[in-house]
Amino acid sequence: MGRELVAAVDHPSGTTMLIVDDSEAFRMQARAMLEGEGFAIVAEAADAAGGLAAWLTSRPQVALVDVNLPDGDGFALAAALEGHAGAPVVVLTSSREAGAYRLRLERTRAAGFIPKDELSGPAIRALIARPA
Amino acid sequence: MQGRGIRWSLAVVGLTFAVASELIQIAHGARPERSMIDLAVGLTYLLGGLSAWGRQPANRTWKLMTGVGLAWFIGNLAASDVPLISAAGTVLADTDAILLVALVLAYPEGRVEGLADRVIVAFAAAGLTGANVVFLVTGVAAPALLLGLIVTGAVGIRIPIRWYQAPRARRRALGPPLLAVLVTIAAVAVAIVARLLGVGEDAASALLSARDIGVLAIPIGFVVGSFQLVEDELIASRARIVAAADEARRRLERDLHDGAQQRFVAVSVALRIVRSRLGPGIDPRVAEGLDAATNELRAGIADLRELARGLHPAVLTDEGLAGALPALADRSTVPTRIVGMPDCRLPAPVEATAYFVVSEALTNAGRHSRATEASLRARIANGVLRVDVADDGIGGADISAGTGLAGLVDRVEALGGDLRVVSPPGGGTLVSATIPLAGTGDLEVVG
Repeated sequence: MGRELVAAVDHPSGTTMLIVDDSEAFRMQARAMLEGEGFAIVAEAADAAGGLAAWLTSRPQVALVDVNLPDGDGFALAAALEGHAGAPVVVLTSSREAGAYRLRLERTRAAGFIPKDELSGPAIRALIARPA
Repeated sequence: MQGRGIRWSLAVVGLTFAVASELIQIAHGARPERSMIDLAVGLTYLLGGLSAWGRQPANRTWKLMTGVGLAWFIGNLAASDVPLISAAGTVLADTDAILLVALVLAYPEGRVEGLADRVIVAFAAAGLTGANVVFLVTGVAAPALLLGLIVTGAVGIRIPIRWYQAPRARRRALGPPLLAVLVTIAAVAVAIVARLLGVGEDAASALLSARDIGVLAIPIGFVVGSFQLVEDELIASRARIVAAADEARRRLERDLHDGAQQRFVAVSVALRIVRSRLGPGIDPRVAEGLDAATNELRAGIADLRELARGLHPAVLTDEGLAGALPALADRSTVPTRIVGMPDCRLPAPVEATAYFVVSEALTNAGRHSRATEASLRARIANGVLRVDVADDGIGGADISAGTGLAGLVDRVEALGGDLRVVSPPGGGTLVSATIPLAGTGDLEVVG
């Protein structure tokens, strides 16, 4: 349901996004790439707890979440976010391929998974547009 | 070298002592055939103990066995004409029995552990020697015989308890020697009771021979039990080697992921950022160069992932067979149907072994079998994981013909399992592995 909303209500500078990843280098790279492709990175966090807090503060439309977080995994964060009204579209990412998380990807309610080396604005938009 | 010198000296001294003691017995009217049996039994302990001592110097069991063999002949000295030697022979006549009690209760570690067993050994040592002093002074044999009966009974009670208390993996090794001990105890008890009741000289001699032959069963039982023990330890150590190798591969996979893979991915993202910042109007040669670099890098990342997966797939570590086997089926070049899959986690070495068997079987099916379809089934029954990979190809596969499966046979067997390939010409191929979940005893069952 919320998915339609994302496409309709956009930030002045693009779709709002939260990035959760314990690597600062990756957060900077993702920001640099995605800000050039129509996303507004309104918050960043380095772990799952910080990610949830950051989302509750700024309520971005999309959360780009690394699977391996220091205090749990991206699947747990996706589940935690899912419980909130106006929950974001969660896009999981990792430098591992999708096959490494097979069962958990089957069971998660996150919108999908994109390996870091294939991460791009269009790839994220394709996931957002896909019916949940 | 030093240990060897000691053992050779003991062998020479022991043999000389043994023969001399029997000659004293014969000189004083003992029947030669009794002496021959006596000699054979004692020497079996002495030489068997020395031989095993050389093979397992750290295990005190064999030193005790050697001690029994040496002490065996002390009692013969009681017949000597020299009063001091005769007295020593009488008082120390049961040293062999005391050492035998210690040996039986110390097997297989070679150490008498626990209060009950220590009390029995101490009681046997003090009681039997004391009773022999009484016999020397008063000529009354009943106390020594009664004490012998008590010690025999105590050991007879402790043996089944020790067996019962042993871990299951140990029982197989404890069985043969303990059975031999129980038989001997019965023989010794009969001989003692007969002497207490005062049977005739012929009968007493026959009973003594029967007892001695019964005593012979003990070292044989020890040897059989030790073989079992060595075999069990070998199996457990093979399983530990497999587990350690898996752990090393798992760590390598993680290091690859945390290191090179992360960096390659970062470079790939950086290249795409550069590409998009340069915009559409760039020099086509630059664009071409960037695209070539990006493609090369993508291929490099794919190679690295395949290498990491081949080492120890992350999905196996995190999700077990339920995640890892379907991933194998997906990647297989032969369309593979999954018929059954356990959804619980199994011990890591079992999961890894099953994974590599399926991986190899599907690879072979893709390469050699010309199969159009394969099926994969994993199930658990009676504490055993069974994995079957079947295809409808040309068959004729041979496990010994240098396929990767040959290498996996050792791995499966190291876990106490079994790997079979059924592949009649034209009849497809079935690869079956059975792996006990906890067959090796030393492995922990995870979650």
